[in-house]
Amino acid sequence: MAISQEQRKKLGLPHQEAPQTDHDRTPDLERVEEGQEISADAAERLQPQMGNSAIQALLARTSSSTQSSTGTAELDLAEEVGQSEEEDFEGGSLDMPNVEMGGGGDGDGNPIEIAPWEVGRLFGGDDDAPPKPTPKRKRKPVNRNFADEEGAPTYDDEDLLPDDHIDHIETRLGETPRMREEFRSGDARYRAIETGLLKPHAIGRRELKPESMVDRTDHLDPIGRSTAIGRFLGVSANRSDTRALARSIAGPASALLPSTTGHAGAAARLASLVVCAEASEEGGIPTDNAVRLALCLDAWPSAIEAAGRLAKTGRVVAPEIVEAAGESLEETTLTEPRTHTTTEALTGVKLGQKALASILPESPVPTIPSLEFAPPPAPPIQDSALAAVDALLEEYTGGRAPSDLPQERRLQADRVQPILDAATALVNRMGQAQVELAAAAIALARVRPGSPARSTLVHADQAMRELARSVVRHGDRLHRSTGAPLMATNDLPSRSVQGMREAAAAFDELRQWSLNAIAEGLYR
Amino acid sequence: MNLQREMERLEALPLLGTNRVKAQELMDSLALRIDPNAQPELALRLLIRRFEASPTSSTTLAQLSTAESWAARDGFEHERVRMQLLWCTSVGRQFPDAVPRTVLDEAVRAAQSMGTLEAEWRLALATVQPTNASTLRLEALDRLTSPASDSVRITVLLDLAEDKARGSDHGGSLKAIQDAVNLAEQHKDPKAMCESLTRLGYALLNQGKHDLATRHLQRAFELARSEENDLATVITGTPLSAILLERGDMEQAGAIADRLLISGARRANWFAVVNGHITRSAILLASDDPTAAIERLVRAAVHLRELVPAAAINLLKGRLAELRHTIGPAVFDDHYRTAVERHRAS
Repeated sequence: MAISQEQRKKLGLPHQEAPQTDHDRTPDLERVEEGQEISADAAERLQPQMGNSAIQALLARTSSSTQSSTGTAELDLAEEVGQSEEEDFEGGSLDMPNVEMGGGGDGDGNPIEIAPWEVGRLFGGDDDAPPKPTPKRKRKPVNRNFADEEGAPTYDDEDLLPDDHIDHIETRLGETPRMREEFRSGDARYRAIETGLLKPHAIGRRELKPESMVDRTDHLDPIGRSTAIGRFLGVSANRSDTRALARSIAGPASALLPSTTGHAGAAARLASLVVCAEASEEGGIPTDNAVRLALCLDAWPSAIEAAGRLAKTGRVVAPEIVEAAGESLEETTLTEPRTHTTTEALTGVKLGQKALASILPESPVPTIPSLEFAPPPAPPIQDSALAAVDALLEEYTGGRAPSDLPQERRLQADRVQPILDAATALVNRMGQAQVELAAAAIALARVRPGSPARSTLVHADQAMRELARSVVRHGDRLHRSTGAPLMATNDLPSRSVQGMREAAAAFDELRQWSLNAIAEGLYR
Repeated sequence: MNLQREMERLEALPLLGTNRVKAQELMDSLALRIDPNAQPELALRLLIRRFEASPTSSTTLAQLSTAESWAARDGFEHERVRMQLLWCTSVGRQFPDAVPRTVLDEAVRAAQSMGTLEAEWRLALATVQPTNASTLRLEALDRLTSPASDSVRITVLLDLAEDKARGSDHGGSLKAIQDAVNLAEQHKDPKAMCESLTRLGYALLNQGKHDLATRHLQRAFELARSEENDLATVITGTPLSAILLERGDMEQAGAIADRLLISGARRANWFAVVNGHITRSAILLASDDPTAAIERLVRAAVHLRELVPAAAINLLKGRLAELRHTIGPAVFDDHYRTAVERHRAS
């Protein structure tokens, strides 16, 4: 099947072999498992799942990411993932082809309208009917370039003042100068709110209407930005007094919006309280960066758009997505693991982790279902007369003759398919994670240009590709076992399922670790 | 009085109000007299009490973990478990996922098997079990009966209020905050009173009960002022000035706005300063002095230029544009000219 093999190529996987007969299949599998005459290709195909030790190491690192996820730790992680594969294949070449993720092509190089990370059908023979990608409505990417945070949203014209009023004031008072950086001390460090207040044209309004406050959450609106920050801090702030204050801002509470001071007065009041909320959190600049990260809502659409462009090349991987989105990241300069941090930095980093979670779509890791064989045949009936009647009935109703041999239990295709579908969904989820990590890095670069997150992306990409390969290999084995007698496959199918599950768990931890490491870029 | 008796006295003193000062003095005195080698148990108890007096300080938090290792080495099991539970509670209140679950679970099991530290283990567990937190906290409150633990009760009540609000039990939430206020008042502790009154005021504001909220916020504002707590002054004064302005209580609204100017400038919260100027300008406008209202804003814009974020100046400009729209361009421009002349003359 064209798509299947094409996508396999993009994933750097060996071509799937033609289905074997039952007679051929079993000895082949058995032989390879016993380790006799392992060719490089066979070794690669039978590359076992990442060892438990590596997964444990991954878990351990993730749980203490704020203490150890430095550049060195990232390197160790990637090396461990690679080593765990190598350890099991002494003597076999493990040079993997250049793995490419994503694609969304139809095999002839023509793009199809599916998510850029989707790999199409991974398991199945060339004789299978090629799956038709469900055409999705092309969504115009929300390309609001707020990299410089200068973008202005559109406003209801009826609400805005005529331009001549503000132009008149601008002429009289002159253009507003930027604050000098050396004056940024105390609460002036908290600048997340300022992005919504860059244009006096948006601040002055005809009147402060209560109904216009409903769902005022545009993060570039003078009041909407405050409420958006309030919503984020109301849930995610580390301190309970901050959360309580933020909830009043998120409303916003009507008491904060008296008509006597107009729209500008309300915006000033809310801005002042937003600064207080950030100050209550006590995180300093990392806290402010985390809040800005939570409002970097254009990062995900930018990553999707860049991934869409890269899908044609099959290189939907985080580092390249970031570059395609026009952002650059630095390598970490740390050579020693950083094991201690300040409470202030920890506050910002923890908030940053929650900020990244808030700007990325919620998408759980697919569950690999259990493999169930057909039920075993019913035990023979003890009563000989009853057994004779039963046998007779079975023969008359088109069943087997009493002289037939008992049917073998086989691995049926309809039992395997849900697992193969879940494996495909898992590989797709890994592709999506590449875009998510890229979006997180894009947000970080926009909030804090030059942040050292490149090595995190590179190593996460490598580890994720290893995991994807592992899932596909297990899927291949399972697919090849379809129709094989239970006696012949032994526990290979269940080991494949277990391998996929371990890969899914490791992937989940890897994704979280990577996001945590990116959030640490807020203070590194 | 021997050291043992003094330690018991220290442990019986509430860490609130004037008793807190006495406790601090006693802690300093005991620290000089207790020899950790000769009386390790007393030294550990002193460290625990010190931590309870300022649980959010990173210094005491670090001291506690050192003391915990010491207690483990020398076999002071009760103190060790207590310190583990206190550490987990303190860290977990801010960073629940930073609490090492194995340590917490082991400490909880040890406390349960010893049949002591009933409140402590529940409070520690509540930080990592959000779905069960209010039950655990309520059970802990029942066990925190000594006045010496009233400071902990206040914290627990405020946490409980948040649990209840999250579950939409707004009545229960208000009651918990009110209980915290009562306790703080009982001990006449200005910091705890200010914090709990502010929480109560904001909770009432969210429910639209502005009159009730105003009363509590006014008290919190006065306490914040007397304690020279600028952050609390801005937090309480901001809604208060808006409510009073809307009610037409210009004198009080103006006084609070003036205070916002001072506290805002001291903290470099320039939006609070701008809010103070806009409030003052609105008061002048309401008293039929549009020239003074405009002058106030122009003066602020001129004085604050380059010293404050451009966003703060933009707010002043936006407000001036709103005034021009409200009173008409011709009239506004006349007043504006007069205002500028006055400003230059001064």
